[in-house]
Order: sequence, then C-alpha cells, then structure tokens
Amino acid sequence: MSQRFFRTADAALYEQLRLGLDAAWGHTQPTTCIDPASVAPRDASDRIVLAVRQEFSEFPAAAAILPDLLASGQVVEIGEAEYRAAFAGE
Amino acid sequence: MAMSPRLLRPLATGFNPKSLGTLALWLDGADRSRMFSDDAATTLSADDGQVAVYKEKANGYNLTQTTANNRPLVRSNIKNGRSVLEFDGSNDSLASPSLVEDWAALTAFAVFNMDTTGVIGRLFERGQRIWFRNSDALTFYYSGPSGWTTAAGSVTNNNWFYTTLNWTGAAAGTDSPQRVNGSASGSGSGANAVVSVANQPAIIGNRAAGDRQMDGYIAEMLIYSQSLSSAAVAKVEGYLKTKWGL
Repeated sequence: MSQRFFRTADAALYEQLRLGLDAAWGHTQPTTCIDPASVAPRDASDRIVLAVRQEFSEFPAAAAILPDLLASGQVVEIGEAEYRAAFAGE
Repeated sequence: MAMSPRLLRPLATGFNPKSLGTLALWLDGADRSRMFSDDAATTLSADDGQVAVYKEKANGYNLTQTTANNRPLVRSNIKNGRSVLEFDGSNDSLASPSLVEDWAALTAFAVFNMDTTGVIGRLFERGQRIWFRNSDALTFYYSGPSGWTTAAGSVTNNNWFYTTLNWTGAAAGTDSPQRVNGSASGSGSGANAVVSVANQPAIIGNRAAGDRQMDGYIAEMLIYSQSLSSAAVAKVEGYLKTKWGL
C-alpha cells in the first residue's frame, strides 16, 4: 500500500493541525484524525513522526495545507526507514 | 435462559464455529455487516472504507479505533472473491476494552497475509497472550505460566497462510501448539518470555504501545477460550481452507 511519512519537531503545530483537520472533517472527541501529540510516536530526537495512507494526504483539507507546511520546513517528509527507526525491535 | 435455536442454526457453509466450543472472538473480513464507518455504527458501505468499529461475531463485542488514520480498511475481492481487512503496517489496529482478562487456555485460528519487512506484526495481543510474526517465525508469548513457542521458517512475506495456535495453558516446553497450513509447525519453545502486563484489552494488528504494527491482511480470526480437540481443530481448519481458497 502507498503511504507517506512526515516528521515535525513542533508538537504545538502538530496539535493545531490535528484539531484543524478534525474540525474540517467533523470529527468529535474521542474520534480524531491522527494520534494526539501526547501519544504520537517520536524518533530518538523526540520529534513526532506520522505515517498516513496516500489517500489521507489527498483529502482536500489536508491537501490544501500540506504544500505550505512542507515549504516552511516545519513539517518534513521522510522515508519509511526513518519512520520505522522510531520503533524498537521485539 | 435457553438459547434461541435461531442462534445455533448452521451458517451458509453448513458449519458453525460456535458449535465446537466457547468462541471468544471471531473476526470475519468477509462479513461487511459487522463493519461500521463511525462510532454511531453506520454500516460500512464504501469499498476500501475505514473500519471504525467491527462488531465481532462471537459475542458481539465492539473492536474499535477512534483515530481515523489508524483504522484498518476493508478491501474488496482480495482473497477467493471475498473482502478482507488491511492493516497498514504503520499504526492500524482494532481494540476491545470488553475483552480484558487473560485466557487460561486458548485455540486461535488466523488467515492472514503479512509483510514483516521492517516491522514485527501482531496478530493479536491480549494481556499476557501475544501471537505475532517476526521475520519468518510465528511466535506465541505467554505468562502465568510463562513461556514461548515459535514456528521458525513457517511463514513468508506476501503469501497467504492459515494458522492455528492450540495452547492448553501448560508451562513452557510441555506442548508445541502451532500449526501452519494444516501441519504441525513448532521448532522451539522456552520459559523466558516476559509478558509483564496482565488483563489488558485485546488488540488486533498492534499492541497498546503502537510499535508492533501488522503490515498486511487479516481475512479471518477465531479465538476459543479453551484448547480444542484435534478433531475440532481439523473442522475449523477445513472451514477456513475452503472458504478462503487456501
């Protein structure tokens, strides 16, 4: 399956984005679009990492903000290996 | 209260898994009537839709996922013309807070197709009972009594398998309970498994910490809260093999 992987060091921005997408998509608690920052996976540098299916990033609300976020450098698109590195082995 | 005869009627296949013992959990990827797209229990109609709630078929417990991005998808016409559940290998899972206590013994069956490149895929985890795939091995960890058993070299990436775990509740080394594609498949066991958390909610496709992601498909999973006889195991395996064209 096709997925995209992202990383951000700004937990406050991540939460702002999460809540904004929840509002756009009509999610109400406890339903949310992505894991809250408090439980989201993090890499060794304590940056939040996120995996989404390709379709997720193509939904209008996400597609509208993603280019600017990537251009700003606040959110970085990473490779799958970098995402996986956030998880230890058995 | 007597059980309604309607509840014990044979299924369309002529076989009812509930007739063989105490069926504790039954996930059937082909049964779209058990899948719901939101917490309000709207029946899932769209192909490739997110499964927010799966009302499992043994006792009607809800297996849920409140984070939309972490919901498995129902994929149509994947195996033998039937739909299955797809877990993305990154964060998808379903959990049931209603299924919390450890099983004293169990017999679990799963039809799956999993890729473990870079991940360790959980089939299920419930407290101190953990069944997972790591590389080419299918492994069961348990505590109380503690132990592990593994079937190394038994499974490969991106292929379909039907597998059976029949654990009597015995201590490590006293039984070798796994079968793959209808044959016994156990190549190791021991006593040093450390599964520290008892009585945690059942999770399909990951563990509570979110770092044991399953990447692939689950077509069907049945878990009995008892060790079944060889004859009963053969019946369930035959049902799964025929249904899923294995």
